[in-house]
Amino acid sequence: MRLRTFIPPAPFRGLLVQRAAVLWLLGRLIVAFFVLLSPEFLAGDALHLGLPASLALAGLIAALTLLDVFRRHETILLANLGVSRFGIAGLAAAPALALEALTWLVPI
Amino acid sequence: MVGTDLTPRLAIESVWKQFGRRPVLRNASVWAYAGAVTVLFGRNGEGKSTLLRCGLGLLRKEVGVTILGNRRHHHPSLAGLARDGLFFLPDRDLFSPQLPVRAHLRALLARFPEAVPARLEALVQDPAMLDRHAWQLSGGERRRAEVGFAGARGPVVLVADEPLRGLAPLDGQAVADYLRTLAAEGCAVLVTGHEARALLDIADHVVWMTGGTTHHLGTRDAALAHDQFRENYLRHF
Repeated sequence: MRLRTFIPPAPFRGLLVQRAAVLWLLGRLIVAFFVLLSPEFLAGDALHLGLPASLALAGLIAALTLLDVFRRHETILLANLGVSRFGIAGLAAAPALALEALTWLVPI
Repeated sequence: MVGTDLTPRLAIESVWKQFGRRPVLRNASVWAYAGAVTVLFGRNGEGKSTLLRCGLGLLRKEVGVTILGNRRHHHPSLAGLARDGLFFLPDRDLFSPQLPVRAHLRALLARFPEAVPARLEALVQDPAMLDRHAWQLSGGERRRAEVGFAGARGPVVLVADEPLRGLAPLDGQAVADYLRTLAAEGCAVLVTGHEARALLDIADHVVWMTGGTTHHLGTRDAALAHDQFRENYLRHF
């Protein structure tokens, strides 16, 4: 079975990616806020979190996006389209991971 | 009844479920046959929706198995069952509030190219409804669109939890007739609901849920002749 059968079809794909990206941005703003409050937090670098923290943030975004899908009662609709919770979480983690990778391209 | 054989296309068997210490389902089973409509009746709180949700993997159960076609699922997932041709219409809203109905149809076609959009269009009264969001439709319009969407999937098994919920009698009759048509095309239809008259009219098999378990009453006429069913469920029907 092809991978595309496990991830949401368009337009849900775009919708979930968009929600995950917004959540990532919010997560990053919260991190930046803590760094501003206490420069010792994350050694004062709000942009480069380090690999474990970046992965944890992507995992958190995936979990939050999944919760958001539950909240909107969209899980049954997506399941009827053959998309499991893992498919939703996997898709939600992708933009967070991509954006985290992009932050490493920005010089300190 | 068209093309009905004795082998169920969907079987949800021997389900035991308890919430905390309170047993809700005790060895409950229900089957859906190709080309036939099976109606699951039962008073509020008897566990009809719980049985369906356990059988489709939306709720955990203590014991039980789901058989779709030739595949046995001890731990079913709705997504997996849907990939094998099942569609579940829940008793609450199905559509995403963020997208118009037509976008849902696009997603359905993207995933299942064999889907038939005309089946949805056949059930909505005004084609312009397809361009509205679910929250812009009345409860009845939304339900009709949801049932039409389920039919558009072209499912081999349709499990519909209270498909006539909130519908005016005429609209309810249109949806009931639509379910009958799906069955006539070979789909195995399993529905619950309290609209006894409309549902009994389309029923090939009647199952009565009481005391946490299921009683298979047979055909509509056999169900109507069942004293306990008449006395404890239908009453003044």
